[in-house]
Amino acid sequence: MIILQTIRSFPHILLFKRSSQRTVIEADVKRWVEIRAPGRLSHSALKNITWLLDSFPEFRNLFYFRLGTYAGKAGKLLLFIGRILYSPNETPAFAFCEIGPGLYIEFGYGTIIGPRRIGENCWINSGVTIGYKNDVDPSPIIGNNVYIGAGAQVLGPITIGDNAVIGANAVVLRDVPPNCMVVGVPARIIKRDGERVKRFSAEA
Amino acid sequence: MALPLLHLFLYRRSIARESIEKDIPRWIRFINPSLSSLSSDQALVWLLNTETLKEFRNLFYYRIGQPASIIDRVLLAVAKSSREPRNTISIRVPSIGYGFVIKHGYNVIIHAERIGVNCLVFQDVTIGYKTPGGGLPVLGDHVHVSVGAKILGPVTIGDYSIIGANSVVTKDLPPHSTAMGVPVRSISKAGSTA
Repeated sequence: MIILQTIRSFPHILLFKRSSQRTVIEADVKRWVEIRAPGRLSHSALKNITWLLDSFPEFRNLFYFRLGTYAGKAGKLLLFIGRILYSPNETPAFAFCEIGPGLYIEFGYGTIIGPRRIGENCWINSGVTIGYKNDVDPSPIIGNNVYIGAGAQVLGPITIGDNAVIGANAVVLRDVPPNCMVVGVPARIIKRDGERVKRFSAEA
Repeated sequence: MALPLLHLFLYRRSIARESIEKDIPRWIRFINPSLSSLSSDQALVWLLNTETLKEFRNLFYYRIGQPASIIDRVLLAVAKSSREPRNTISIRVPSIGYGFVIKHGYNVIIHAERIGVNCLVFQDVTIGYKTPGGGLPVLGDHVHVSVGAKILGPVTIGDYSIIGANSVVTKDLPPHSTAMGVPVRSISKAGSTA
């Protein structure tokens, strides 16, 4: 079984070794292993990449996104073969954007990730949309350590501060300050720096 | 269309046979009531062969589970490759009661403690933990979870509850309640009219 996995992930390992994004992918792998199987942290990065590619189709999407700008004919051929051996899911879908290291995606069915920028160590659930509100304004900027719950939508030219938590099914259309928790349609702040905020005292 | 003989063989040998037998008429009633005169086996063949009903295959493979003998495991692998399940559904529940129906299985995540009999789940539904490693929900019997609803954390949903579209449930709901909104609130309870 392990031999089969090694053969299947051979192009991926080659691409990973030659990639300029190597440190970023290493950070991703560490985060995924930390969340999914902390017992595997002592294994080597290559072993863990093989395991993640085999177990989580959504990790494949992230992996191919990280390698996306890799140039050269040999690289493109390897990527083509790799995509056949470990085919990614249709979603999560990534737009061309800057995403910090350590992004974790839980399932990611129907997740569209199209921000201007995402910080480090963010967590995105299934059914999330990050993108445009209309055809004029740019898309959101998301800080570090942001958690986006299942089915939430983050739309328009807004900024989400560091350590923010966006609840399930929230629709976020305004800026969210750092260390806040927002829920609802449209989203409003319910927690600021860990303390509960009264219902109509502050708007998100 | 080829008969799914392997599936029928596995189904007859499975310990979950009774549950699947009770699932079938409910799926037929929701999907295509004109086929209600078919026998149980004929209906199963129709459900497994219909390409637009891949979510039934997810439930079927969940019920069959991981067989004990190696021969059965190989048969199951072959069966799976000939009738592929939908890859946007994740079911991780110790026990789901009979008569469980998933309608339009796109982005359906069901990680619960227990699910009762005759429940109905639509697309975009997430049933799972609120914080990683936290508790999981318990669903009673005859619960109806509408489109896009999220049930998060260690909550208990009473029997015969209806959860409205796009609502977020993070608190317990009593039996016979109808609830909706973000966060959820009851709009009718047992004995009252909405």
